[in-house]
Amino acid sequence: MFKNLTIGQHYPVESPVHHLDPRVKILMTIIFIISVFFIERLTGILIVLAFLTIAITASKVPVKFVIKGLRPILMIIIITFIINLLMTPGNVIFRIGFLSITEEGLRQAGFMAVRLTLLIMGTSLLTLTTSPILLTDGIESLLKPFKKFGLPAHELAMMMTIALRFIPTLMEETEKIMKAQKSRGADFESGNIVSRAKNLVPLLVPLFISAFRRADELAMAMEARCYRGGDNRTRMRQMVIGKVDYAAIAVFSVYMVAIVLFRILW
Amino acid sequence: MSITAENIKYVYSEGTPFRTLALDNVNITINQGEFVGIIGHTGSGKSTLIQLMNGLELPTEGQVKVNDTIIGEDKKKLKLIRQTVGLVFQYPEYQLFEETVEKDVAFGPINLNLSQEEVDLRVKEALESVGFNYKKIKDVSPFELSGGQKRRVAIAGVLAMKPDYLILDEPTAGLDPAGRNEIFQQIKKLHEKSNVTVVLVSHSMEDIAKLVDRVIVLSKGKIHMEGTPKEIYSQAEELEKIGLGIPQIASIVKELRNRGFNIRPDILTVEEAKEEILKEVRRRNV
Repeated sequence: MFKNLTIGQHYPVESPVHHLDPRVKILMTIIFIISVFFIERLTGILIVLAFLTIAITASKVPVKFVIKGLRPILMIIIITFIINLLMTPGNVIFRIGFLSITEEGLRQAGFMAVRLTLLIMGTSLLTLTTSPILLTDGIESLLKPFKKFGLPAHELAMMMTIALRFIPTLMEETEKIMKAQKSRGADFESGNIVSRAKNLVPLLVPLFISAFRRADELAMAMEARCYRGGDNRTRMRQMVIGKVDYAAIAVFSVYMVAIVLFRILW
Repeated sequence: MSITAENIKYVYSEGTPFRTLALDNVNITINQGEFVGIIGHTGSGKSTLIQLMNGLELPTEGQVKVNDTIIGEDKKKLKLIRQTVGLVFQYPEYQLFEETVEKDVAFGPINLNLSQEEVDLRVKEALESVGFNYKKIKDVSPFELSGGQKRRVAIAGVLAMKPDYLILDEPTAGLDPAGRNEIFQQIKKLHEKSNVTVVLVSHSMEDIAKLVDRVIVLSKGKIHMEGTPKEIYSQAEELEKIGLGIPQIASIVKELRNRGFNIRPDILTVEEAKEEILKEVRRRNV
């Protein structure tokens, strides 16, 4: 049941996109998200699509995987579509009772759905091509300037690293405990909501206990290796902006210029 | 009455870069009343194999039958299969969740929709069969027990379902020698007394040699060898080739034979070895 989870799942192949500096990738992703909301016309969508196609091809991640990441938010896309469809005032083209669909609504809803889809595809490309560790390294490095304002950048990044690191472990654990309880006749799949929630107790109690145990052990292991936060801490792998990064920035700039130009000129 | 696996193939994460073939064309029969050991290195597919035997996983190819019911054919029968084939996981103490030992052991029988009297009876029997004093232990929180005790409670939780087949995955992993002996003794007693079929999974030859009637050796998802412990241990080189050790006494015997001692190659216990070596020494002195 946990085999189809793509968000936060790194797809380990060798590709130029994988080798990009995580900071560059994160910044580009943020700007990409903004750019997706910047487009207003079909041509804009086509440019974004073209860019995504290039990026996905370069990353060597099968398209199937990128699309799979959409599944968890499919409901959100559908709800957004329906709300936009029904709530936008304008030229009425269709009416059932008090519900009316307008030309503007249809357009707006379509655009919103496409935008969200592109947005998720773009961001899941980031998580698919960047290992969680590199991702948090990148975030830490990007947050460093805010340290002056009292933001504990390193600690935040460390907590995130640990959290990410334990997602697969805890999922494995969940699956194991589930199997053990199923062997004792537990049923996690049938019944109404109340009984289902009740049936989760034999899963959640051991899971929490083991999570706390792990946290305890990890804290001890870190302590034993003299870990004490961010000050004066050096890294084994220094992040360096290289040729691939410049090439990627160049491609991305072309994309941004195209987006802005199309918005202004057409 | 038996568990049979026919031409089993099991693939993990099909269609991703993590694809692994865990089991490849495995055929196994476990007859009622037997005491079988499954040995293999980490990653040899043992754990996958036993999960196929009670329907927690379904084979990618081939089929597993429990007493002539094909697993997975009828979803409604899964519960019955899991009752028939009791599976004790590795580190089973991590599955304990109730406030008292009694309640935890009762979890399985209650899931089988048994009457309260029957549940109580089974809990009592199960706890006693793993060597607990029922009255003393029943109201204790399982989290206050020692590691070995927790494990015995967890095993009792499976025993309370009265399975015909009991599969134990590394039941002594992480226990000290005393705890290990205790668990093995209880499993042995259980097998002799109630005639339950036992499948013992381990990576350690030492443990299994003395207990089981038949050993199945898995390596890289395939059955590498199968036979009585004596047959298996007399092929020490073959075992070492796939990364499995042999009992210390067997390697001593092997080395002695290499140095010209004329003793039997299929010795399993220290006592046997002692007799044989003494015989040989006497023969030489004459």
